[in-house]
Amino acid sequence: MAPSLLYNPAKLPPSAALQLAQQAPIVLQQSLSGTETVDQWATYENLLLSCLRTGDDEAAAKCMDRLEERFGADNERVMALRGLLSEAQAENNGELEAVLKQYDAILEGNNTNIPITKRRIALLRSMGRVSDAASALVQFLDFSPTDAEAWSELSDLYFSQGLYSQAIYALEEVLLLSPNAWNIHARLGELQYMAATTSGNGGGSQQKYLAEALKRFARSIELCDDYLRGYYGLKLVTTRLLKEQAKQAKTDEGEFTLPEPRTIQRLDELATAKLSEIVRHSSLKDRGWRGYDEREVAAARELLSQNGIER
Amino acid sequence: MTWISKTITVFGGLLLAHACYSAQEHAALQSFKAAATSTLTSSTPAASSLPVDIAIETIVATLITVLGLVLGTRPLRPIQWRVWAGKIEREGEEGFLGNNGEVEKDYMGNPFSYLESRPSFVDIRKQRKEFSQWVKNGGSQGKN
Amino acid sequence: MLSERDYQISPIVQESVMHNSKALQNLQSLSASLFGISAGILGLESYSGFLFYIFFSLLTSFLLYTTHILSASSTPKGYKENKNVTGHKGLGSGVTGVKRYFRGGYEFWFGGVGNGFAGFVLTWTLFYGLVRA
Repeated sequence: MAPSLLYNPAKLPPSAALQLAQQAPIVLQQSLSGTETVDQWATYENLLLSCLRTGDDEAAAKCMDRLEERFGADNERVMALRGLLSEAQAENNGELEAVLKQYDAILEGNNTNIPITKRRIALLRSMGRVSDAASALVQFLDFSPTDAEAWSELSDLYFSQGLYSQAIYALEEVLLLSPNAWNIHARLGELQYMAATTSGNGGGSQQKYLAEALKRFARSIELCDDYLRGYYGLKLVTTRLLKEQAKQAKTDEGEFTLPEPRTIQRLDELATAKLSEIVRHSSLKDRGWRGYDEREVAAARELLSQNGIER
Repeated sequence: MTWISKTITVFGGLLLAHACYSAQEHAALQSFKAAATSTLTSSTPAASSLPVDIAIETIVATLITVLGLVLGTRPLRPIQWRVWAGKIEREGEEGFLGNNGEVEKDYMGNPFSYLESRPSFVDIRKQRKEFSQWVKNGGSQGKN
Repeated sequence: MLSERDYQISPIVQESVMHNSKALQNLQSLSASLFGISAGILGLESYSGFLFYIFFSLLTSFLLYTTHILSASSTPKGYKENKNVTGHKGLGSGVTGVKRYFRGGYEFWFGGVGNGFAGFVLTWTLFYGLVRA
C-alpha cells in the first residue's frame, strides 16, 4: 500500500520517502485558497520532512513558506521546522554552529519553547557532542518529566553509548507514562537482552537481565496478539536460558526469580509455534496477515532456520 | 462495498415511498367511498384495513432498507487491547478499511510508534546521508 | 464483573469502544425512524405498534450480528486450528462474538430498543397522520 502523507515519515524506508517526496509538485500545485482541512497542514509538514530527506530543498522551502504564511514565523512548531531546514542545508560545521547559536538565542528569550529545545538536543547529538546532548536532555526532563518521547530519546542516547542500565531506566520511565505501549515493552526487552549478552558471564546480573527481558517480552505479547517482535525476542531469550541451564546447575540466589525450567520450555515452544505460524502465513500473503514488516518476517524465518539446524 | 449497500437502501426507500403513496391513495379512496355511501347507510365502516399487497410491500421495503443500512454500517473494531493491537500488527492498514475500501480516516497505526521514531528529535542530516547512500547503491533494494 | 486489576492487565481500547457504539447508535436511530414510517403506513395502533418496533429492532441487531460480528470473528483463516495443534490455551485465544466489540451483550442486543424509541414514536405518529389524512 502506498505510504500516506498523513503520517510522520520518520520510520519509512528510503523508497517510501522517495515516493512521498515525488508527490511534492502535485501537492504544491494546489492553491492555498479555499477551505482548509486538518489534514492539509499535516500533509505539508510531512512533505517537508520527506523532501528534506530526499534532498529536494526547493520543494521543502515552498512547504516551509506555506506553513509560515499560515501559522506565522513565531509559532514554536514552525520555528523548529525552520531550524530543521537550516540544519539540513548546512554545509559544514561552522554553519551548524550558527544554527546552534540561533537555537540558543531563541531559548534565551523563551526557555519554554519545547520544539526548539528538542531540536537543539537533536542537533547536538547529530554533531557528535553526545554528552552535551545528554545533559541538555536531562535538564529538559527535569523541567518536563512527563514527556515520553524525550525519555525514549534519552534511552536511545544512553544505549548508543553502551550505558545499558541507564538506557533501561529511561525506558522504564516511558513505560510509566504509557504503560500499554507494546512496542516499548518489546524494546525494553531487547535492551535487557542486549545488556545480558554484553555483560559477560558475570552470572548474577546477566541472569537478572535475562529474567527481566523474558517478562518484558511476555508482557508485550500479552498486550498484542501475534506480535512478531515480541515472539522473536521471547524465542531469543528462552533459547538462551535453556542453553545456559543445560550448561550450569541452577544458581538462583539473589533477588531475581527465573521461572521454572518447564515454564521456559513451554514458552519456547509457544514462541516457535507462533513464529512459524506468522512466517508461514505472511510469506503466503494470506488475507489478514499482511501487516508485518517484510524485513522482520525475514529475520524471524532466519531465526527459525538457525534453530532448526541447532536441534 | 459501499455502492451495494447504498443501492439496496435507495431501492428499499423507493419501495417504501411507493407503499406510502399507495396507502395514502387507498385511504383517500376509502374516505371518498364512505362519503358517497354515507347517504345510504349512516354507519361508516371506517377506514377498512390496508390491502394485503400494500402491507406486504411495506414490510418487504422495510426489510430491504434495514439490510442496506446494516451493510452500510462501518466495520466494528475490537475493544480488547490485545486483540486490537494484534489486529494492527497482523493486518496493518488492511484491517481498518472502511466500507468504501479506503483506510478509515482516524486509523493511525500503532499509536505508540512515535515513541520509537521520535519525530521531534529527528536527525535530518543523518537521514539525508543515508538516503543519498541508498540512491548511490542503486536505490532499488528494500523496495516494498 | 472485572476488577480494576483485570483492566490493567488486559486494558480496553476506549477509542474502539466509542467507534463501535457510535456506529451502533447511528444504525439504531436510523432504523428506528424507518420502522416508525412503516408502522405508520401499516396503520398499527397501540400494542401492535410497539411489538412491531421491538421485533424489528431485534431483527436489526441480529442482522448486524451476522454481517459484522460473525464474519469478522472467523478470520483470519487457519487461526483456530493452530491453537489446538500447539495445545496452548489462553494466550491469544481469540475473543469472539459480541464481547469482542462491546462491553456486554445487553448493550448490543437491547440498547437499540431504548435508543431509537423517541425517533420511532415521532415518525410513527407523523406517518399515521399523513396516510390517514
